[in-house]
Amino acid sequence: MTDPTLLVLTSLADGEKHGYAMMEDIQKFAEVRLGPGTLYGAITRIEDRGWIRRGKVEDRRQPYCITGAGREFLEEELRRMNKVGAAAARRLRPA
Amino acid sequence: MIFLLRLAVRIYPRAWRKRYGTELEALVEDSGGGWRVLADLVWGATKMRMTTVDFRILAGMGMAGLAIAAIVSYQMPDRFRSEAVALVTLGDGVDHQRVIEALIRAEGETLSRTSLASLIEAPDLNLYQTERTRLPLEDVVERMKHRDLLLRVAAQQVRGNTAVIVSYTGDSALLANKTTQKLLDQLTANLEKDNSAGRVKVIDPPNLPGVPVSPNRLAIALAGLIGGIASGMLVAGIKRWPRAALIGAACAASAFAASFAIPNRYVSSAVVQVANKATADRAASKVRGNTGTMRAILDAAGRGAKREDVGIRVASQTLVVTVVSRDRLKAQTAAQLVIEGLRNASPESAGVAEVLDPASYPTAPIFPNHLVIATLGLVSGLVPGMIMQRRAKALA
Repeated sequence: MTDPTLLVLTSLADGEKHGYAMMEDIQKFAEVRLGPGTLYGAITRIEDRGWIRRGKVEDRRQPYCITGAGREFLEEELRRMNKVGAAAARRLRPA
Repeated sequence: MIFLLRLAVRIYPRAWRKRYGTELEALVEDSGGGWRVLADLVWGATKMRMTTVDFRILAGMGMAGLAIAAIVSYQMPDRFRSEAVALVTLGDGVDHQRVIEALIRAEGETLSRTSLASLIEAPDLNLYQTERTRLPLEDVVERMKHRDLLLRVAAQQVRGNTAVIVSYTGDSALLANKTTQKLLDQLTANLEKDNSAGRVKVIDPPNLPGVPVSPNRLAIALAGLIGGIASGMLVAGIKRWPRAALIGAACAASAFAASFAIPNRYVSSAVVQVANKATADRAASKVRGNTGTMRAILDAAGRGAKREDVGIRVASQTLVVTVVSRDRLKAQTAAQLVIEGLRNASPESAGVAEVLDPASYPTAPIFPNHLVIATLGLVSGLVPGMIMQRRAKALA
């Protein structure tokens, strides 16, 4: 999974983080290093859709946290991915 | 590197930077930079710019310009070019320099207004029918001479002979072919009556072109695209700098209106041919040095005419006469006086002086250029307007 939207939402699912913390977290769980441009492209889109909101600024670093709508979207995507994953696993299993 | 990274952040749209700029800069500092980060930022900024209203205006107007130009280019008639090459061989005891001089004479005669006008009006050619209904014949001749016709003496000799290229671009392949043939015939006739040249041998007769040379539809479409984008930039600029645009437009309009208070200046030109360069030099200096003749010319040119307004340029054995005046008729009359002066200047030149192009009646002024003045007005209004708007924004 390399979709920056899902990666950012997944990263924020366990609590608020600022940009650099998100980058480090995503690299750890998805082994994908998002560049600052890609990350902020995703943040802009997600914030406009109301899936994340801003927390209290700490020394120029802006933390974000996931909203209810963002959580719902992530759960829906997760269900869809699980379904696709299960289908793929079934089909790859030797007959 | 940090400078480049900061620069990359500046590529993001202003409104976006206002919202995310500080935190993005902090993130760039935390992530340590590098070329991959720089590339990622530039790509991100480009994508972000593509979502802005300004970009949509630019893209929309660019596409509109492209479409309009493409439609216009398909409305334009095809034009065909026919070309011929002739070789002027050296006669017995004739050197290359004399052949060149003879060629220049023949070229002058072939391209003279009288000669081209008769070619345009020839019943079997009947060139520029549409243009002739709305333009004076003199302007049509100028258009033919400068846009469609080419008569070029090749710089290098071919086995001691001189190559001459004649080409004409016309509305149909057949017309281009026939006109080039007539031009070639005239040039040949003018050369052969001159004993200083050798024989003229056509080595490549006028071709019947199969493919049009213009319009270049790709270039027109590209120009439309660039024009559309430029118009889009103008609209985006007006949107961003409304006060500056208003002041600029007001200044441009005032400058344009004021430019009509400046007296027009017209130029009449003529071409005279004499026996040789020495005669041309002598005739020119005699006219320039003759106080009586010059006074008569300046009087004819009208109020405010100065010696600098009368030009006599010697080019080989031809003399190019120009007279600038506030009145178009006076410019023409003064140019005619210069021609008379040149004819009378030297007794030995009187017999051979030939007026290739009589004094022209100027149709459009050479000064003032209203468009340039309006542009200067626009720029002089835009700059202070932008400063004022920026200052007002800062104060707010």
